[in-house]
Amino acid sequence: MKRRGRWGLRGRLTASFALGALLLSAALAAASFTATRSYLLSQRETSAVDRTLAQGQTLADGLRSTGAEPGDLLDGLRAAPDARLLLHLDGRWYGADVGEVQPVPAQLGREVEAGHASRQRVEVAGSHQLIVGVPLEGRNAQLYEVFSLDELDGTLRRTSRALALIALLTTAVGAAVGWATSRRLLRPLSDVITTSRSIADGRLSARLPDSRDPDVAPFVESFNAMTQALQDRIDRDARFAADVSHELRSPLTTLSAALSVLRGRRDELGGRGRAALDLLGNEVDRFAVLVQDLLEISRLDAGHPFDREPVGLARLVLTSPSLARLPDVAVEVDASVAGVTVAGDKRRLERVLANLLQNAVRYGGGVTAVRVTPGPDTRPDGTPTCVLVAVEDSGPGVPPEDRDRIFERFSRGSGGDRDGTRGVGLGLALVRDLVAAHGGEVWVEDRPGGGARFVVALPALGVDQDEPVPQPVRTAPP
Amino acid sequence: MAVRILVVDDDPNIRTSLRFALEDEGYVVDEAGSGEAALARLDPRNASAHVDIVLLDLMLPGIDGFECCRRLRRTSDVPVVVVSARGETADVVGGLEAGADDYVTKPFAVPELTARLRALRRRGRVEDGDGRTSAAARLRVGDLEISAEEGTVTLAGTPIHLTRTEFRLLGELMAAPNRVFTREVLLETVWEYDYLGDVRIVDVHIRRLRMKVEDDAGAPRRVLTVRGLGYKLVDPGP
Repeated sequence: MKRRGRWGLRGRLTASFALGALLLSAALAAASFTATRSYLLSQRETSAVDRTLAQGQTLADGLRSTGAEPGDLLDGLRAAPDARLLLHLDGRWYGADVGEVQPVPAQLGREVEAGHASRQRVEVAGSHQLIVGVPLEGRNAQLYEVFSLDELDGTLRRTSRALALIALLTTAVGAAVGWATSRRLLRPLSDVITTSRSIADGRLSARLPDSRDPDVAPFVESFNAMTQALQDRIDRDARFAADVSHELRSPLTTLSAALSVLRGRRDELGGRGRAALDLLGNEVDRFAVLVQDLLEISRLDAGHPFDREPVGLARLVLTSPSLARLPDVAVEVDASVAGVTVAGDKRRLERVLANLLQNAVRYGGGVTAVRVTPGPDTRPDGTPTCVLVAVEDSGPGVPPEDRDRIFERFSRGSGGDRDGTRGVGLGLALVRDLVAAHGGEVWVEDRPGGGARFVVALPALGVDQDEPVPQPVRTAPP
Repeated sequence: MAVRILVVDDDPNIRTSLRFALEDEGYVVDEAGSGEAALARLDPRNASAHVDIVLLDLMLPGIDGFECCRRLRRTSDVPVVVVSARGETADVVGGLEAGADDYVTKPFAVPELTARLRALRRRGRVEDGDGRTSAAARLRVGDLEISAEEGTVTLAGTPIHLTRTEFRLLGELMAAPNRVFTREVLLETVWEYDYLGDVRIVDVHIRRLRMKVEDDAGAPRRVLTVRGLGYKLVDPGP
């Protein structure tokens, strides 16, 4: 059997949907994050630049009109809560922390000193800052304002977290949609599985439900057409077997009647004539059995129902006409199964016994014993759950590798040396089919002390107290 | 006197071989190749009509065995054994409902057939008073009366016509009113089958009997079914 992929079709479909949803939502999230970020940043920068320009104007006015200390003027400016001001005047820094040699990046410094208001984002100790620089009018001075971007970073962080969550949810929804869709898509497939399982179990009339889906309908049609063709074929085969055996019945009736005329005149024949008559008689009898087996088996194949009624197995065995023809056989009936019944057709069950006896006579060196015993399990009320009927012979036994095969139709055991005619025909196959039709099992095992033991196990129906058991039970002859 | 059997089958080989085999067993055998020929042979206006048992194949060209049996029953209660080619329920029950007394399935062995014929003959000897029937000379259950000696049955004083098998079956039931007879017991005493006999024969004959002794065969008051056990005959009262 082929190893199944680790992912089923449904798993793959679901994964594809989830992956698609993930890619799409991630791309959308990334795009919206980028857009949000650049918008917020440019807003922040614009307002920062406007503010610094205004501060610069105020400072320049202050420097020009009053002779106040630049440091005091700088302190006098109202810095934004999250900003601080730096003044670079005549090569000297005001407002900078002590020891801050290079408070603004060199690039920004050069641009502002060249007379352009400018800005730059920097990262200091893990937090982002926006530095806006404006040249002051009339003086060799530049005002820098350093804005903390922590708040903006926080906003962006929250935004990105929200976007990631949305992307995750979208992926999950994608997976769920994939799962549901694949289930919908694969429903025809699971119908096919259910239906073909039914067909394999022998319910050949199983069909796929009609579909109006234009994609599915042709498949349903062809599948149903296929099973119909299969059923027709099997019906035809079964009918053919039934027809053949039926057609053989009339000539067999003639053969049988003519044979009985000849048998009545056996004494009038010479030695060779008698020998030929015996050969003919044996073969006609065998032929008749084969035809009946074939008809019965084709009836079972066609699923013809048969009536079931409670049948006492012990009584069936003890009154069996086929067993009565073998007077030397030991028959043992366990007292605990004397009145136990099975649901069945007594003539068909007799056929099972007859075929097993015939098999033992023909291939097993003769029947040594027939035993009716309880199965190993019992119900709460102490009655057995099944009844076993065992037919034992003293032949060579059946090798383990043949124990299934001999129940097949026209099977031949692998040991061709046992008997050239071990083509056992349909006898054991019919036994198996009949026992199965009664809900039971049949198998062959070794008989302790040599020989084969064919065991039929039939589910017990109940106990019939009135079921008479003829006495005495036959036992082994001394 | 030898028992005369009419073998009705369209296959001449079967007719001939059966004739040989049955003649060896001491029977006198006539042949008919079709239902029409059989009916002509059994026509009561025919002077040499007497036949003891008819062996009737169901699959016949022209009028088939079922129809042949039905038509025959209008004028005769001669015992009929139908020969089913398949042993299917429809064949067996259909043949019995058409009025047959028993059936065999092809291919049958001659001893099997002669056992059936002997049992039929014994059933027919009720009027000879050979003691095989458990019915006493005259029995009465309610308004139903049977006379073994005369071979007659009357219902409220009116004679009713039964085949010999129906007569024998009624005799068994009337011999012990209210007793439940299992189908197996009836099959054994009336038809002389062993345990493996086909109990459908009993069921169909009970149905046929009801058509004749009940006012409404669908709601029997005399021949009752005892579910899961069998049949019994009771006095329906006034």
